[in-house]
Amino acid sequence: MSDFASYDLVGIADGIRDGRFSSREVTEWCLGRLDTLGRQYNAVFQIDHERALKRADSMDQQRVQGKSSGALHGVPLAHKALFDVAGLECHAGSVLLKGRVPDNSAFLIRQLDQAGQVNLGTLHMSEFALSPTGFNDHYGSGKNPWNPDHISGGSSSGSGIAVAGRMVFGSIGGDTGGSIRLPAAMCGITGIKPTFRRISSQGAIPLSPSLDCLGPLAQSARDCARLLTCIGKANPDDALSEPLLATDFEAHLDGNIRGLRIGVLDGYYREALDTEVATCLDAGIDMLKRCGVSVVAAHPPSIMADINALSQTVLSVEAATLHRKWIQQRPHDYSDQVRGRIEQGFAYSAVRYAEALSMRGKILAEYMDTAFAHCDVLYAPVMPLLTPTIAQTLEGDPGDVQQMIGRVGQMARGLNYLGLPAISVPAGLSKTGLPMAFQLIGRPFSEATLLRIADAYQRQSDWHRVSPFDKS
Amino acid sequence: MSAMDTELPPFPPTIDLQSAAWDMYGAEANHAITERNNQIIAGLAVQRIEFSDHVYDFSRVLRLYGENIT
Repeated sequence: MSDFASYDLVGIADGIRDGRFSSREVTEWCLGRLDTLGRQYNAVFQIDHERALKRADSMDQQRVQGKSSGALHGVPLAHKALFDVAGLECHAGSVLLKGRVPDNSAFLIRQLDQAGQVNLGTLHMSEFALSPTGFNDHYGSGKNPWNPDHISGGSSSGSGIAVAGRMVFGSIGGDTGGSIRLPAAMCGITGIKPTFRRISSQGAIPLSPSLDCLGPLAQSARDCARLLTCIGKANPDDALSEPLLATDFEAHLDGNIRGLRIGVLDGYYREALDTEVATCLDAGIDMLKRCGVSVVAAHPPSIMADINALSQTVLSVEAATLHRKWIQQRPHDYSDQVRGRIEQGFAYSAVRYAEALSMRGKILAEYMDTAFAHCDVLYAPVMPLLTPTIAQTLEGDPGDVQQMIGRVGQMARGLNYLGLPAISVPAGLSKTGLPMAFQLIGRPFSEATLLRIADAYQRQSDWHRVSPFDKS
Repeated sequence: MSAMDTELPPFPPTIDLQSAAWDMYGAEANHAITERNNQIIAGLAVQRIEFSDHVYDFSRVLRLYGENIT
């Protein structure tokens, strides 16, 4: 059987389109890896062999007839178990929703189907998307493909593991406080959290509707651009999604980023950074300078820690609202850690929650006027520490665990309150061989600019091409 | 609708590990976090919330500072 480990999503799509290999060949190869590596590293919940192969054959048949579904024709993907897929169990990593099989697919799954994806099944995630580490007490935690003793990051843990391990060529995840960017950073792939409501969340299981964002994880910025183009169409049936014109994000990737100004965030974003992370950030910005951007210092507003508190409050109140009935009726179907975090939400008054949301516009304006005063895009760490071991994230009393969870998500969480888009870009390996990354933060709806910068960087670096299982 | 459907945990919550509703993992840690966040929000709100705040509607501000808005 052919080895497709050196291909990215766009390469696989091109190869199938040109008839160099078939969708069935690639799909069989991916299914084999999901069955072995996917199980070993806890990347999957359900593999849909039969439907995937049938779909691949159908895609191959269409190609022979000169027909193409679109930009993902015959490409094997799989997604976080957060999205309804008709006929596939979708339980969001919980016991509570075990056996739930939706009749209809989520809006974004339908968009991917129309573009020609071959959906291989559902991927591992943290219980109800409520852990940045990939922790799942019911199904076991996600294991980092670079070292299974370390966390994969979450909550889109399976997406991170499966893409990094070359088990699928792309995946859609969800990000309420870093859940796309953190597994992307820890597994060594690219992941973009779009602007709040840029992507319709119809058919996705919510955690905190004021913060939830959906977006792609894939090897490269170009792969992410292709996926984002497919899922970024306006949904006329979703009054909450932003009715923007459809964008071809891939068309903007010309490698030219001269003239763009990148602001390197200091203050909060540089406090208590691990020295290896700091060195990696310095190398990343040097590379971007060589790509032609100008670099300035950027100062976040003094209330960055407070923004995290606002984000945490909104998340826990909204999660408690969604889960109250189940928590009262079936408390033991939640893991202790997840139930404890949701129950925080019961301890806020309605006034505090309303205040947290009422200030959101004003605080976003403060952030934009301060941090973006002299630049187009901001540059920051995705997380301040090297990827911890699974044991380190579970050690000590609940206060210690909460503190570790808070530290892992410290640089990511506040951006969900602000609603801003951000992309995690692989930028190095630590001395212990674990991926490191930087984060680019954009103005609202500037996904095209973020992808353009990340793509220009990836034209000069190979960190997104390094694979944990297929070392060249 | 059963009584259970409408029954809320006590508010303000008490850290009573014997209470069914709050017999939870990390009650003390949660209490510390929520206390801290409540104080932070109260402090921010005093400085920022005014009756004219409708101009700071979040979606409006997103679009105001947005790139490529058509």
